[in-house]
Amino acid sequence: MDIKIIGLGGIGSVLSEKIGRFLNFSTRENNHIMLIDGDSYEVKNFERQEFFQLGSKAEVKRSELSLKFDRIQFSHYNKYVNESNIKELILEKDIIFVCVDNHKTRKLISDFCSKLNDIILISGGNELTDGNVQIYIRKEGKDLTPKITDYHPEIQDPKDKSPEDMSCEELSKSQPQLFFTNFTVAAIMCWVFFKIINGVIPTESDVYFDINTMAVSAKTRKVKAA
Amino acid sequence: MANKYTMEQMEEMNTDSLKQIAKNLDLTGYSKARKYDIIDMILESQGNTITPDNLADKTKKDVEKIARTAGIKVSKTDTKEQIINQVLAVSDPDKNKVHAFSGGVEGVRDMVGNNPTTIVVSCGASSGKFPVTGKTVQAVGDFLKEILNIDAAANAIVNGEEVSKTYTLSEGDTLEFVKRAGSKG
Repeated sequence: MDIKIIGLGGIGSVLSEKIGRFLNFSTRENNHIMLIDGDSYEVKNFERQEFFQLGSKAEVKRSELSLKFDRIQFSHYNKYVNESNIKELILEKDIIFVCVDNHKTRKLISDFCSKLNDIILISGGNELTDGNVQIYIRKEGKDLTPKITDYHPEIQDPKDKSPEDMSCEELSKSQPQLFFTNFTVAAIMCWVFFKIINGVIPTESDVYFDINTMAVSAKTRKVKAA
Repeated sequence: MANKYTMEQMEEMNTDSLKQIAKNLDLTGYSKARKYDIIDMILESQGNTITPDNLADKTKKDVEKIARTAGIKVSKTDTKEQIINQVLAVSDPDKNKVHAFSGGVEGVRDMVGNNPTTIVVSCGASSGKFPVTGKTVQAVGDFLKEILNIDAAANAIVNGEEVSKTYTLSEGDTLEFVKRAGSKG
């Protein structure tokens, strides 16, 4: 099983550990997890991101998880995903977890995956106290669930920037986030992963939650015609 | 009682002001309550509570007035019975009273579950059953925008497929207003 986790911030730093732990103690063999992020862990990230030392997020996480889970083959890529490198990073039959903090990168990954024949894309995102997880499954060249851009114009036509396009000043400014919310997104991504690896193709393509109302709701939407 | 506050007056006030009124009225349980729950408490204390049982005895004009106070848009073509059904959709059967306006999903969720004409409407993680058969998606979005926190630009999906805002809902439909995807991580 080839898994790529893109983004190792509030969601990805938690998710990578949980997916690694699950696979390490399962009976499944030949599991490879690639950790992808161009950012670095800094002291300011301790509030809501899980890591054991400062430095390149991808490299630090690979070192940490390799020590914990010796049955998994970990690798890392310490650059952001962009149009130049995406074809080297995302391959047929991969399971892709998208844990990034901008819609521009989500769209880039979604558009690329929609041209492959077999891919599973699980994308999570959040605001302060709510969020959602989107599921895109493509088998034998056919979409089984809608693309993550299909019903979301904010992803189809993103107004934000990828980290590579941001200035240092823009990068240093970040909106407040809550660790519990990041953690909930990661947990729902794990639910989806668990269903899929047990052979269940979800009919749901979007799972929303709201901490304030303590509600979770999964949505089933039809695949749009190409 | 020195002052009687109307629904319209109180909707213009912030929560702190409403809490002060509740305090002046010697009410209890308002300190952690939400805005519209406090409004309910104040209205009830002023004797403005209306029970569903006596709605049928009122004139159509009075029922329309109650519906408007409850934040319901009433059409000229609506029958008295249809308006009562809409009012009951935001009622609390446990207390057997009508909320002036339910500010949250909890107040309306599943309350009209036995009504075969109700339709499940959702936005993000919030959802409820509402008697909106025969209404357009636009009208439902306007009616429920505060209850379900619906963005004015939200796309609408009926039974899994995108529809225009002019789509008229039928019995058995399920309506979703698409909430924006979380952007951060």
